Amino acid sequence: MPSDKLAKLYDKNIIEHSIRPRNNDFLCDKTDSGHSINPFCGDEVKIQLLVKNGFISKVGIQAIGCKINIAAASLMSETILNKPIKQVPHLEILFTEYLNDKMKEPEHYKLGHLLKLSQVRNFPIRIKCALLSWSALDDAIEQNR
Amino acid sequence: MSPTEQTQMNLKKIRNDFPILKQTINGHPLVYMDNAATSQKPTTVIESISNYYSEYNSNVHRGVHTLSQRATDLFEKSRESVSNFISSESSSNIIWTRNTTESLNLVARTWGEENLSPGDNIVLTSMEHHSNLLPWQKLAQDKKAELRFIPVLKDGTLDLNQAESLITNKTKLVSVVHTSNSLGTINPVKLIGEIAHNHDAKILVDGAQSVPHEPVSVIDLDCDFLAFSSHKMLGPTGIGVLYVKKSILENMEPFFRGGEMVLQATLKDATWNELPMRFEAGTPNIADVIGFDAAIEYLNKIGMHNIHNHEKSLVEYALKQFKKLDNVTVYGPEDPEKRGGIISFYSENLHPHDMGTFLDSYGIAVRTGHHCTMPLMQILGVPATARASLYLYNTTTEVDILVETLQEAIKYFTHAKR
Repeated sequence: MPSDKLAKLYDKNIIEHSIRPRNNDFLCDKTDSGHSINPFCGDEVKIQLLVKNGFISKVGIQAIGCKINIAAASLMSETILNKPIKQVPHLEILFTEYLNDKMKEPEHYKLGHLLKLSQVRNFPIRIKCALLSWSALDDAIEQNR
Repeated sequence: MSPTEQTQMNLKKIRNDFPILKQTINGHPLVYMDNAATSQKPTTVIESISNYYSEYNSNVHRGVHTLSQRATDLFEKSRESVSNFISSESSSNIIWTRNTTESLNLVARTWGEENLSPGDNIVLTSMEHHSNLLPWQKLAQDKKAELRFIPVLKDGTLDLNQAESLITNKTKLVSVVHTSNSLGTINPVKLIGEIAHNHDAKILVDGAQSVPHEPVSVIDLDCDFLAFSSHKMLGPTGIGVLYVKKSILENMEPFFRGGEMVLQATLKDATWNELPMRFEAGTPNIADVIGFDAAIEYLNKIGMHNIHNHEKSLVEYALKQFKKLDNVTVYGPEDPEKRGGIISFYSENLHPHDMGTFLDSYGIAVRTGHHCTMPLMQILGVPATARASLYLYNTTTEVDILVETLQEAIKYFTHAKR
């Protein structure tokens, strides 16, 4: 039997999001798009945003690779949808701090769906997988500037 | 006692020489199958490094004092051992570098700079490690030369018919991996070298994955350059080797300039030290060179033929066991005679990273990723693979553990899918 630690990493939320990733369709009416590759394994994320009045009103995200990458991309898309695009950098910092166990306790609540990735903290080598979609988002925002 | 039992007994003794193998990882005995990335070290290697620092730490080729003399003697003894290990005509053809990558860059930036002209070509293969691709890309760009690639066939071997037509009188260098770190394929480098020499081209052999695993003779291969690393053959990290045929080495310009490599220096000019010191500027990695000697001694004691045969039978056994796995593709030649102890595989519906994490939770160490061969992964049509790479201390029991755990991983994730 796989260890508890492993079973918690691949819990039903992660497996479900990896099988049925949200906002997976390519967004044609996009205002911004981004792309990132993990050179370590070749995993890839493509993202499209429709930004209206400073809010992310639509997201399209296509992640190719491991389950953690696909589930993290799906959860990120749910988290950023309908949020002001200006909040994204702060959210990314918080999430990165959270995964690296460097976050101050009171700010957990801001992460919402992303807390489903809590077990990645026990697998530091997989943090890169959970953050790949954020690099694609950075790329999209960078191009927006 | 059957031959198998005999091997088992020897393996027990061998495994006992590697302290790291005695530990458990995540509650399971360590099954170390990431030897193509780096190998484990026997006690003799670990102790030789410690002895250097505690008993005769001093610089080499400089002092007249006793410690320096002792360090210099053992430093040069290691060079002799490496020279004998690959049947080099002399130890002065052996240059210490940091690793295989540095050895390859050294050739590109010295011999390559001097011998390539616009319109020339360099022939590589499509299965090269980035370290035997990127230095040549840069050189070809700088020199307006052409890079050509011997294609890889479906079975993971090279298309030698194409090699015949790709290597021409405009070819200056053919640089080929001996054993592929991604496919395990053992390439016929001697034959490719003959084709190169027929066109007055030089042949460089990337021996990073072959020298640690089988007897390699530069005389037999008739190669002009051979590059490999200590850390993949039981030795310390931070030591690489470049062998260069004497007639070529004598005419090569130094790579780095500074102390040790100089014979006479004025404020305006300098002349170079004799070989191989001409290529070893600055204080070298003395401790690890000495540690490397202990590794060579260990390998010689076991015997390279024995190591090669052990791995061959282990990989033959492993390939049979892998056939039991559903939807798992194993890359590289099926014939154990044509491959080393490297098994790269890909499971549909189970990404190598997820598989690697699953295996690690059972104490099994494999590599997952593109193995620094991105162009080859594109040819195979996969983003990455998982790779189990074997060495002298691996056992059939460990192969069984690997295959059973893979079976469990596939079952686990398939079940999770429902």
